[in-house]
Amino acid sequence: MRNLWLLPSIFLKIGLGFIVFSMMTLLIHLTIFPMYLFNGEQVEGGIQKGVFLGTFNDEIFYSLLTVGLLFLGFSKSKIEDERTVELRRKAAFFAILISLIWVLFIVIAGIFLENIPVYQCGIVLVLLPLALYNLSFFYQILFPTSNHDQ
Amino acid sequence: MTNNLRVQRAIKNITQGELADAIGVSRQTIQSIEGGKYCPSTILALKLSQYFEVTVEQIFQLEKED
Repeated sequence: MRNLWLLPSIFLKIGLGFIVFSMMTLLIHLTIFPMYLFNGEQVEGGIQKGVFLGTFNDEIFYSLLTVGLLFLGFSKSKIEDERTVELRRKAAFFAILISLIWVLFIVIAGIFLENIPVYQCGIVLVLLPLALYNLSFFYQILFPTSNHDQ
Repeated sequence: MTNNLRVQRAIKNITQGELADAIGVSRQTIQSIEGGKYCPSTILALKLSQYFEVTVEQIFQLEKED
């Protein structure tokens, strides 16, 4: 594709490597600190903590995952033709739409509910569109006969 | 929009992969066009017509709802 800025295709494999590595850091952390589960785990003193909040590992995990998803989603596929660009557009539209709905939900829910994990909004706002974009794009690539590809 | 790309390909006796290589797109793109799942750009339609040495209208036809 000529009119999209995409990374060379080698970054596809590098991105996958980053994602696998980030998952490994998650598993290692959960092995070492099994008491911290996912969001909303109640710890001593009544403070809510997420999986890694307050530790060094959360930055490593989220950074690796974000870079991995970026590399994966924005590197050229083997043959980058006009259909691939169309699939990228659809995936981007889908990701933006769902992310905006999520943000609206958080904002509206935050008005009425107190325990909304607002502290994670920043992370989610970065990771959610990226993850949705990748999921949608690669789903359409891997299953070309699905309704997504019409 | 309907198309008879499959017929044109059969006349020339070439596979989807060979056509894709000749046009410079992926085999999945040819597959999607033949299945009516993807509507090609003007550039790709013209490339196909040049390759098969027919007019664009001989490959692609508008339907009533188009």
